[in-house]
Amino acid sequence: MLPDQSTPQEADGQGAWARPFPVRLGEAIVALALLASALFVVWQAALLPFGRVGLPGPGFFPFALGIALGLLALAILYGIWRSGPGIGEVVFLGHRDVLLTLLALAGVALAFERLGAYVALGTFAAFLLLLVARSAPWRVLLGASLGMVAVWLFFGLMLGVRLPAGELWPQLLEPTAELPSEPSSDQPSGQQ
Amino acid sequence: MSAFDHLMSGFAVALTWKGLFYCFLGCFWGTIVGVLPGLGPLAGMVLLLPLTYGLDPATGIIMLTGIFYGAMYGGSTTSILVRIPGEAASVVTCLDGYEMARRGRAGPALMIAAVGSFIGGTASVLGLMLVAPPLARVMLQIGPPVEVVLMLMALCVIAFISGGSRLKTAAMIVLGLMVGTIGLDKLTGVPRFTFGNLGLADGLSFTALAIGLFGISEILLNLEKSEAIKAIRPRLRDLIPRWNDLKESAPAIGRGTVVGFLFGIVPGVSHVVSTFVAYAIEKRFSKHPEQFGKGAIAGVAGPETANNATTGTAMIPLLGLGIPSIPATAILLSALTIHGVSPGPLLFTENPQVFWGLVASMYVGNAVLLVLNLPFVSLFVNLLRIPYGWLVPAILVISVIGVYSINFNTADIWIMTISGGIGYLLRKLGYEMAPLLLALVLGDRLEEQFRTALTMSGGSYATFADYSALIVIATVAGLLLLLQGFAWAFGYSKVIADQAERT
Repeated sequence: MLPDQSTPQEADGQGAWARPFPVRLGEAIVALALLASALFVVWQAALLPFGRVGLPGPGFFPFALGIALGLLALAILYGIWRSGPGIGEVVFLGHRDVLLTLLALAGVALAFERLGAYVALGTFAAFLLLLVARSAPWRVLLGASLGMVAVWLFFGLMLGVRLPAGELWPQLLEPTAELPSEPSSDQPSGQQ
Repeated sequence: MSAFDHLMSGFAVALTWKGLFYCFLGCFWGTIVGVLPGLGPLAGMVLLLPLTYGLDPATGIIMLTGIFYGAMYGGSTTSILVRIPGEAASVVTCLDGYEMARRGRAGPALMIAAVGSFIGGTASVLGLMLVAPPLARVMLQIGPPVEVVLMLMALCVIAFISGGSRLKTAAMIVLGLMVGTIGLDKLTGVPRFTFGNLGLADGLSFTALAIGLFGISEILLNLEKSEAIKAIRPRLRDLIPRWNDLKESAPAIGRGTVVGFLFGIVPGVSHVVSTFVAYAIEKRFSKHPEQFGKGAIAGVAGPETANNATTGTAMIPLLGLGIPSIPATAILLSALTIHGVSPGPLLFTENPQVFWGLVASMYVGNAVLLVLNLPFVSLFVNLLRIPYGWLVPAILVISVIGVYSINFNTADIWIMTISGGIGYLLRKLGYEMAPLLLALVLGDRLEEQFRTALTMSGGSYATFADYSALIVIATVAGLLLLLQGFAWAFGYSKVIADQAERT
């Protein structure tokens, strides 16, 4: 795939958050990240049993791959350097809907086991319907609720997938359950 | 048992209610992802990959393969009715398919595309059935060195022929191989890059990575495109083609079948290459080449047939040799491995029901798709009216549950999210994800066989250039050069593939 060549006009339509970013700078950052990964892998692989070139150990393959990736990253950087100065082509990064979706996914990962799958996914769906699909609030509520019923029917009942119920709710419903009991006089305080 | 008996035992698997249901589900979802611009077969497969874990291997693979060839069928619908290819292999169909639709002939274009797809798809399954078992027997005779050579050749060919920069593709291949080394070393049990974390002993979750790199990144890229889609709506009674349409299409379908079948074996972008070659051949053979691009039905029949004829052939390296040649078959390999089934020579002796059940289901699935794509074409066209913003939460909820349900660990949701973000950025900057995925799948086995081969040979690298390895190299290289020459002769070049990928 070739770099995404969005025009400024397209970017305007995509939302005000998108900003032009030089492709060459992006490519250089990615190449440097690849080079850093390669060096890290070479370093870590060197700590593993290397074996011999004829009979390689567990460190041999990652070591060789690290060297190869490092060389490729350097070749990419050389290509960027050779193409001369100037901004050149740009891509638009920071699209509003993309950022919101990534943020929502991170939120789901955080809340999935704490709040429970249905609450986390319902909130996630509602968030995206409201801010990405830009739907009316009643549609958002209806869509998210029906969606969770469908999830329960399909995954819970049909496929038998056991989704987390949430760690927070038992604590909220039974606040005393987690509280420490009254210390007895003969018990050392450190064991409580 | 003869091949016929095996096939009958395969139908016994495919024609159970479960086999039929999941075959239909795969074909249905495949058609949907094929119709929806932006969601390709690969994303469609990885998104439903976790659902197959609860199924038996044969049923799971039947469903995933249904998505693969279902998407090939569905891709033509939007090419013809909207001039937006549902996936890269349908780019050529836009040229004449949409012109036909503009002139009120969407029905015949859809009909011929579906019939051609059915014939091409069915013929390629026949080829798969006949070629894969003998190929597997040959594979049993050759050892780890040749397997290493074959895997390296597949990766080199992908680096050479895929769209975009070769350096970037090569970097993605090496990165994929490198990520594959995370976890316990298969031969010695030494932990590598786990940093004391037991959760990393089996490596990073392939499914979470694949969904992130393909599914999530594709969704994020599509969120940036918000243009409204206006589709031409065909009527059921207009589907019947004229006698002249049939006369022009029949030879094109025949030639498309041969081209698709031959090019299906090329690693990487076989389905895209085959459509361009088929189109060029039709133009060369036509008595009215000037009509191409203005609504020539042979320009729809040839490429659409070729596109579907690659699906069966693309399965041959996976099922016969155990080496995936395209990303879609890499997903299938991963699914089979998770179920404890080894594709390749042992598949035919240890799990024959998986291979023959799959072959039988592909015959059934092609017939199901013919029905789905003709009378119900309006149903799928209506999907284009659903705002993309409404589809995104639904797809993401399925992805999150699917990824979580593999290990019941939220770390996998994090891996999916982070790899989705990285995949999105890399794709914006012109890096391809398909080579990375293929390398990730092959990495483990490549290293294992490489080290086993060296151990067996007492540390001699000459084992990779022995007589049998040289024969394999010469055969594969010769075949690829022949096909490349054939493609060049009909005007195909890498530039065209790049344009297709860009579209």
